Amino acid sequence: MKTRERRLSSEVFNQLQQADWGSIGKELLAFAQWWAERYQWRSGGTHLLAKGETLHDVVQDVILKAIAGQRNWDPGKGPLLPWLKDQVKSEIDALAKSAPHTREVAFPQDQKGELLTDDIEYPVFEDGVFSGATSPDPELASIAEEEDLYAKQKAQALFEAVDGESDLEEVVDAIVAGCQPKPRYLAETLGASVQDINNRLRRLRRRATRISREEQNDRPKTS
Amino acid sequence: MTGRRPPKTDEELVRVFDYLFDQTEPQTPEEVDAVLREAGCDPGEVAARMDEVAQRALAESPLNWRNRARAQHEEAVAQLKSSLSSARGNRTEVLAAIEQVLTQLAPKQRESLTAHFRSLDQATDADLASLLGELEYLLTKGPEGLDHIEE
Repeated sequence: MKTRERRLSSEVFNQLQQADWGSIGKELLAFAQWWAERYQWRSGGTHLLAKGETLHDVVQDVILKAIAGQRNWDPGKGPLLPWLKDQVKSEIDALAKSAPHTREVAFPQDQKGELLTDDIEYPVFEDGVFSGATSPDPELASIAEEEDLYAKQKAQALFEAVDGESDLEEVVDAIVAGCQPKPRYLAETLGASVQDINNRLRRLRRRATRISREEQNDRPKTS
Repeated sequence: MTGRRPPKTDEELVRVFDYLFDQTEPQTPEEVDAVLREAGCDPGEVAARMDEVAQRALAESPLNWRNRARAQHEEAVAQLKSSLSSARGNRTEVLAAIEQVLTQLAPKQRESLTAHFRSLDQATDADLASLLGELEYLLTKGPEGLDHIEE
């Protein structure tokens, strides 16, 4: 069997020896946590632990593979840390994709990655028919109803998450009032720093995810 | 300009927040530490543990010069042992074999070596066998090995 391992050059190995692994390890674990929470918010699951993997395991595995040359960092293509983050992201993506009930929705964006929220066209579902469809489709109707329920539940979780937390409430209120969904615009609107807004948003996501998960667990199984 | 059309439905609101949350990757050291603390981790302990994992892997890597030097040393010792174990025979045969090896050396090397071992006749059988083994080993190392004779 062919091994994927390629020999690192001494030059790359020397650079890996010089790296500040304590600092890199912290950044990678924080990134892994943030990226995993993204999946948990979107899918409502805790599937990242389904294979017995913890985020510590994922990060350590990426570091060890980089040092062993099983994943080859090419300094000519970019700095070490962003490359390592990509490796962590790939691992978590693979774990998430292998989990059941994964939900992913693509957003319309422009070339700069800006969200084109005004361009989002939501199909209207009424009397078992999507707008544009010619006849009722029971399967599509069932999916749409489920998606609709899911969106309602997550929106509800967002509102519940800000209850008693005025700084989080300000964020949701600003978005509901029509503020552009960018931390810098929220910071401008609310007179806060971007770092503060980012902290609030991560806290909001964590709280809302927990609420959403609890509600899912409390809901009686219908299947 | 920071205004846009407000989200009108639950689905639209959720999508906007999905997008917003995706932009909150921790960037500064303070944000990194904050994310770790919120996840129940001590940033200092995380740094120490990750550094330990990496340093151990670096130390054990075959690319580490200490490991390369150790591997080369072990290989050399194995070859020397092999040469010594094959240097057998009676005293006359061993002396003949040593003479044979000496003929393969450059004059300068031979001169240097004979200065070290002037009285082969007085050497014990074990010393002769050992000398032959070492000479054969140095010959297998080529010019690099033979340079040691001049030192």
